[in-house]
Amino acid sequence: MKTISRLVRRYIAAAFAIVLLILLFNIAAFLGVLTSSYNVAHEKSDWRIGSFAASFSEDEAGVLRPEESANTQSLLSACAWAMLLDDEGNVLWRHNLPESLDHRYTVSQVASFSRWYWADYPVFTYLNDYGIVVAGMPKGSYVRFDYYINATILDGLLSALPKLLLVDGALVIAVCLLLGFRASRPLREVGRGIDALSRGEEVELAEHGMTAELAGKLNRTSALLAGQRKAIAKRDSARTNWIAGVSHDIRTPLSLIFGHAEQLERAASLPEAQQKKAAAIRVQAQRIRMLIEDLNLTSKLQYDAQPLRLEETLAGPFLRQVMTDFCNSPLCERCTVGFDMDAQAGQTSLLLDGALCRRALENLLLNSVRHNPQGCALSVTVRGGEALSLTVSDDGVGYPEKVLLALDHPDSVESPPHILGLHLVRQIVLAHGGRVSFANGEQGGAIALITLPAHPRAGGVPALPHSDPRRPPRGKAQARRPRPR
Amino acid sequence: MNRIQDARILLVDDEADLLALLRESLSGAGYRHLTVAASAAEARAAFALERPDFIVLDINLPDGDGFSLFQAFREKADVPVLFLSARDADSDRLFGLGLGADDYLTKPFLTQELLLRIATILRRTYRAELSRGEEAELSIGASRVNLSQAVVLTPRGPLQLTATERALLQKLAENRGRIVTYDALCEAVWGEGYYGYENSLNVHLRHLREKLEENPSRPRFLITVRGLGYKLQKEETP
Repeated sequence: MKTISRLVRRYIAAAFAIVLLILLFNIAAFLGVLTSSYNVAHEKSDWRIGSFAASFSEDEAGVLRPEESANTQSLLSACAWAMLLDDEGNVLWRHNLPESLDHRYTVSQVASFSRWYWADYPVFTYLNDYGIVVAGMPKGSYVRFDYYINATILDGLLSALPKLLLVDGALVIAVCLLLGFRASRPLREVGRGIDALSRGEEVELAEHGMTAELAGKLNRTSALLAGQRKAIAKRDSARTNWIAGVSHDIRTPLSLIFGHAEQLERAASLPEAQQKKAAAIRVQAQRIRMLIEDLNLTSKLQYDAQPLRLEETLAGPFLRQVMTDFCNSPLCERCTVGFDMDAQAGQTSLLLDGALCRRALENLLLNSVRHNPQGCALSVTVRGGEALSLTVSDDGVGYPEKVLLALDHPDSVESPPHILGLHLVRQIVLAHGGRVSFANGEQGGAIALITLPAHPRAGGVPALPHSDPRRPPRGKAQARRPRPR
Repeated sequence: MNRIQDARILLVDDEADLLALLRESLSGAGYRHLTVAASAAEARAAFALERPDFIVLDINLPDGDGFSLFQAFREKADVPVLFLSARDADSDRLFGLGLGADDYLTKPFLTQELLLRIATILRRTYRAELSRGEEAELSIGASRVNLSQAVVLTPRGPLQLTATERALLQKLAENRGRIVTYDALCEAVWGEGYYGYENSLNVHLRHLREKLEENPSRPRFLITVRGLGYKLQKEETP
C-alpha cells in the first residue's frame, strides 16, 4: 500500500529533521546565550586592558599615570585594584591597591598571578614600555581557566570533528531507518489487509504487536462483509433461478398458444373476424414471450448471472442481418423501415455479445411497432467515427413523459411505468460500455440514440471496401462476421 | 427424395399437445412422413425403425435428455437435427450446437419460423438429391429460370446465367419473398472472407436484372432494399 510506505518515509524524514532541528536549536541557543551574556558583560565592562596599559605616560612631574579616558575610567571603576610593576617587581603605580598586596613582587609571584588569580582576585595583565600592568577584578566576577593542549591532539580533534559530525548524522539516520522499518512492517500488513478489503477479498491478519487492535478490527470487518456478500449472492441466485424457472415452465404452454393461434389465423374455413382474433392472440402471445425473455435477461444482467460473450464483430454485416430479420418478420407488416449506414460505420469493428445487442435493437424496433398499432415509419441511422452512433426513430406517438422521466431519473418517479424492454436496452448498452438516451423528436415520434465504443481492428483488414468491381481484393476479414441467414 | 416434403421427419417431445401441434403444422406444410415420440425410448425405437431424414428433438425428456439422444443418433447416422426446447440459456444453446446439431430453436416459437428452418436445413443437407429429383424452375414474370441448367427462358429467347448469377439467384430463390443481405449474397458466391466484394455483387445483380426484368431500370421482381440487400419478390413456382 503506497500510503503506508509514504507514511514510513515521512516518519523517518520527520525523525531525522527533529534531531537536526534540536541540534541546530541547541547550537543557536548556546550562541544566543553566549552573545547575550557577552553583551550584558560588555555593558558593565567595556574596557580594554591593552589600551589602558598603552595609555601610561610620565607627566611633567615625572609621575607615571594612565591617560584620562573613558577606557581608563571604565577599567578603574570595574577593577578592584590595579598596579603597574617594573621589571624588578616594584610597584610604579597603584590604584586601590590593598596593603597586603602593595609590596615588591618576585618573578614567581608575577608568573603565578598572570595565569589566573592573585589572593582570590581574578587578574588581568598587560605589558607596556614601563613594565606590566596588573588589574585585579572583584572576587567572583570572572572565572579563569588554565587551558593548554598538545598541538597534535588539537589537530587530531579538529580533523576528527567533521568526521564525527558525519558519523553522528549517519547514526541518526540509521536509527531513524531502523525504527521506521520496524514500525512499517506491521503497518504494511495492515495496509495489505485494507487493500484486499477494498478489492472485496477476505482478510485474515495476524493480531499481535502494535497493530493488534487494528488488525483485529479489520479481520472482523472482513468476516462481516464476506457474510453479507454470501447472503446477497444467495439471494440473487435464488431470485435469478426462480425467474428462470418460471420462464422455463411458461414456454411450452406458450408454444401451444402460438401454434394454435397461427393455425387459426391461417385457417381459410374461419370467418375473417375469427382469423383476426386469432392473429391478436398470436401477437399477444409473442408479447408475453418477449416479456418473459426480457424479464429473464434483465434479471441475469442485474445479478451478474449472464456473462457477456464478447466477440469482435463488424458493425455492417451484423446490423444488416438484424434489420433484415426484423423486416422479414410478420411484426414489420404495418411499418416501413429505412436503414442508412455510412461506409465508415459499416467497417467499424465492435466488441459485442451478438445475441444481447440483437435483443436491444429488436426491443427498440418492437417498441415502436407495439405503440403504433396503425403503423409507422421506422428509421435506423448508423454513423461511424471514434464510436458507433445508432439512432432508432419513428414518426409515431413518441415516448410518454412519464416513461422518459422513469428512464432518466428512475428514483424520482413514485409508481414507475413498466418499461422492462427499454430498461433492458439500457442494461445491455451499458454492459457494452456504451451510452443510450431516449427522447421525443421535435415533430413527434420516439428517438433512441445508442453509442457504442469502437474496438481496435485486428491487423490485415482494409479500412474501406475495394472500389474496383473487376478486381476485388483477396483476403479474409479478421473480425468475426455474423453468419448471414 | 424429390421434394423436401418427401422427407421422413421424427418429432420428439414429451408434451403431447405440442407433438400434435407440430404434426398438424408440418402436415399442413405438405410433409407426409411424420413420426412422433414422447420419450427417449420411443425415439430410439422410432429412429431404428423409420430411419428419419430429419429430427426435431426436445431436450427435457422424461427418461433421458435430448443431448444424449442426439449423440446416440449421430453415432448411427449423420441425420440433421433441430433442437426445440424451453431451455433458453446460452450454455444450453451453445452446447447443443457444439455437439453438432443443425439448429436450436427455443420455445415458444412461431410455427412459420420452425417450418422455414426445417425447410432450409433439408434443402442444404439434401441439395444434391433434391436437384436430381426436381428440375428447379422459377417463374419470374414472363421468364422461366432453370437453375440446374443455369438458363433463363425469356420471351426474347434463352439466356445463359453465369455461375455467379446462378448462385445469387439460387440464394434469392431459397429466400423468395424475404430480404437477403449483401453479406449473405456475397458469402453464397465467394464464401467466408468475402470482404470487399460488395461492388462486384452490385454489378452481377445488375446483369441478372438485365436478364430477368422487362425494364431493368424499374425492377419488379429483383428489388433492391436500400442499405440491406436484395429481395426476389414472391410468385408461385410451377
